[in-house]
Amino acid sequence: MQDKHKETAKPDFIAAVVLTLLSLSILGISLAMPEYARQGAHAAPSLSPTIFSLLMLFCSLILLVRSVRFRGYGIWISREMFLQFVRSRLVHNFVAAFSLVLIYAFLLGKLHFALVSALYLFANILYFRSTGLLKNLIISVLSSVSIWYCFDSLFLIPLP
Amino acid sequence: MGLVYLFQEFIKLLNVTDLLYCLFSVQLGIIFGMLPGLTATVGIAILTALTFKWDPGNAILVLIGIYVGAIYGGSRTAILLNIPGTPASAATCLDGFPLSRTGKAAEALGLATTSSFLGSMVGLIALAFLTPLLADTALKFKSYEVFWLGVFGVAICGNLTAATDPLKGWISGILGILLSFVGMEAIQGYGRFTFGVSELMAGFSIIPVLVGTYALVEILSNLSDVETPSMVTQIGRVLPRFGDIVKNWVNIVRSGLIGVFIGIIPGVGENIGSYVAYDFAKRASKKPEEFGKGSIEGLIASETANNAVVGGALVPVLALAIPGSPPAAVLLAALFLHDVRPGPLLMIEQPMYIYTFSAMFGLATIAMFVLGIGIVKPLLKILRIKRTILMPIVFVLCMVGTYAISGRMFDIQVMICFGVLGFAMRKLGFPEAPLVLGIILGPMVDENLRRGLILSGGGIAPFFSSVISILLITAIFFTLFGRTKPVSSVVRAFFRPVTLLADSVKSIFRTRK
Repeated sequence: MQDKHKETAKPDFIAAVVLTLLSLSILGISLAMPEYARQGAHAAPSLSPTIFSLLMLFCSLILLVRSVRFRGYGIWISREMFLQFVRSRLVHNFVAAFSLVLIYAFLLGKLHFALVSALYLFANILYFRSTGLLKNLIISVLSSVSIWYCFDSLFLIPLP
Repeated sequence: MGLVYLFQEFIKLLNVTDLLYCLFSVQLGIIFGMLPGLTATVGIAILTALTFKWDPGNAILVLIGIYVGAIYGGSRTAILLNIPGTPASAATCLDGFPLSRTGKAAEALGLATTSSFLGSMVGLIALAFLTPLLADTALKFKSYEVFWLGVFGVAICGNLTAATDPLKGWISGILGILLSFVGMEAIQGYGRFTFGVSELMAGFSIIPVLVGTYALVEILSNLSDVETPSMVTQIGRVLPRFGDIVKNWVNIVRSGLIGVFIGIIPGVGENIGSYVAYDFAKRASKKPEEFGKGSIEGLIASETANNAVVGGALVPVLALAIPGSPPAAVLLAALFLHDVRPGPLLMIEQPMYIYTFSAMFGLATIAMFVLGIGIVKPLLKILRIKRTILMPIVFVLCMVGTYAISGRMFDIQVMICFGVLGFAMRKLGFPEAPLVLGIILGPMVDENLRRGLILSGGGIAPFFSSVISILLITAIFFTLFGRTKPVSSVVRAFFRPVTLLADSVKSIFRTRK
C-alpha cells in the first residue's frame, strides 16, 4: 500500500491541489447563496453543498498530506521528458481521437446526421489504418446510414 | 392460492401472439441495454410512445420485456467491452471484463445470463407473493432513512471501486454529489452553480454523464492506448457449469434478496442493488482478493442483484404507485396511460392484475434466458472486430443515445466534458463509478437531508433515532472504517466468544466423525 502511494505521489499531489482549490471555491460559492432565513438555515440551498464541500476539502487535505509525505511536490519536467511525452504514440492517438470527437460534435446538427457520422467513421478508420480505403468507405457509409435509418425511421428517435 | 392464479395467468400468455411479442420485446430490450446510452428507461419511454395505441395487455407485456431485457443486456457490453450498457451493469464491469480479457468471455456471458435469470426469478417471487408485506417495509423509509441510504450507496461504491485506495473512491463519490447540486434545487427553486447558463438550470442529465464517464472514456482509452493487448476471443462453453451455480447458491439467494430489498426502496434502483450485493459477496467470499480481477462470485452477485431489483422495483409500483427505480417510473406512467391504476386499491379493483403482471414478468424472464443463452456466441463476434473500427461506431451510437434523451446539443457537450473528466480521473487513479453514483444519489441525499430537517424543525435527533437509521449508520461506519486496524480488532474482540463457540461446536462434530 505504501509503495503504491509512493508511486502515485506526484499525480496525487497535483490532484490534491486541484481538488482543494475546487472544494474551497464550492464552499465560497455555497456560503454566498441566499439563506431563506424565514424557513430556517436547514432549508437553505447552501446546506448540502457546504457539508459536502467541507467533506471533499477534508479528503483532499488527507490526500495532499499523504502525497507530501512521499515528496509528491517534487515535480520537475525536464526537456527530455517533455519531448518524450509530445512524441509518444499514446498522446498522438489521444489527440487525434479526441479532436475527431470534437469535430464530429461540432458538425452535428449543421450537416445531415448520416453524412457527419460517415465522415467521422471514415476519418477514424483512416487515421488508425484499420482497413483499406474501399472497405473503410463501405463500413463508414453502411454503419452511419443503417444507424440513421434504424433510429430515425424505425424507432422515431430525434437525431441531431 | 396465489401460485394457482399465477400459473393460470401464465398459461393464458402461452399463445403465439404473446410469445412473439415477448421474444421481440426482450430481444429489443437486450439491444437497448447493450448500447451505451440507450438504457432501460429510454427503451421503455420510446416503446411507451410506440405502443400507445396497442391493446393494453400486449403493450404492457412489451414494456416489461424491454425492461427485463435491457437490464440484462447491459451486462453484454460490460463484459465484452468494459462499457456498462446501463448503469445497472456498472458493477458487472468489475469482474466481467477481466474474465473476458482472460479468454473466458463466453463463460462470463453464460454465467451473467443464468445469474440474471435466477435474480429475475427471485424478483418474480417477491412481485407475486410478497408485494403487500414488502410494501409495508418500504413505506417505513422516511426522509432520514433515505438520506442515510444515499450516503451508504456512495460510501460503499467508493470502497468497492477503489479497493487499494478507498480515499480516492470517496473523493470521486463526493465530487459526484457536488456535481449533482448543479441546477435548480427542489425545495426553494434556487439555481445552484449555474453561472448564468440557462441549460444548467435542469442540472446534468444522467445519460450524458453516464455515456461520457463510461463510454467516451473507454473509447478514448481504447483508441489511444496502443499497448493494450487485443481482445481475447474464446468460443468455449456458453452454458455455465452446474457446479459453478450450485457452489454459489448462497451468493445467488443473498444477492437476489438484496436486489429485491433495494428494488422496493423507492428511487434507489438497479445500480445500487448490484453494488451492495457485490460488496456483500466480497465480504463473504473466501477469495476476496480475486474481486475486481475476474471473480465469478462477483459477477454472479452483481448480475443476480440487478435483475432481482427489477422485480423488487415493480412491487411498490403495483402496491403503492411509487416507482422503485427510474425505468419503473416510466413503466408506472405507461400503466396509467393504459388505464391500469396501480396503488393500494389495485388489489381491490383488479385483484388478478398483480398475477397477470407477474406472469408477464415471468414469461419475459424465460425469454431473456432463452435469447441470452442462444445469442451468446454470435455476440462474441463483436470481439473480433478491430477496436479502431468498433469504438467509433459505438461512439456514434452514444451520440444517438445522448441526444435522444431530450434532443439538446447541450447534452452532447456535457457528455464530452464528462468524458474528459473521466479520462483524467482514470489516469489519476480515481474510479468513475462513485462519481456517477454520486450524481444519481446527490439530489436524493440533498432533498431528504433538508426535508428531514424541515420536518424536525432543524433537529438532527430523528436522523439517529429509528432502527433503520441506526442500521444504516452502522453499515456506513463499517464501510468507511471496517478495514482499519482499530475497528477490525474491536470487532474481532467483540465476536471472539462467538468464534470460540463456533470452533468448539465444529471440533465436537469432528471428534464424532
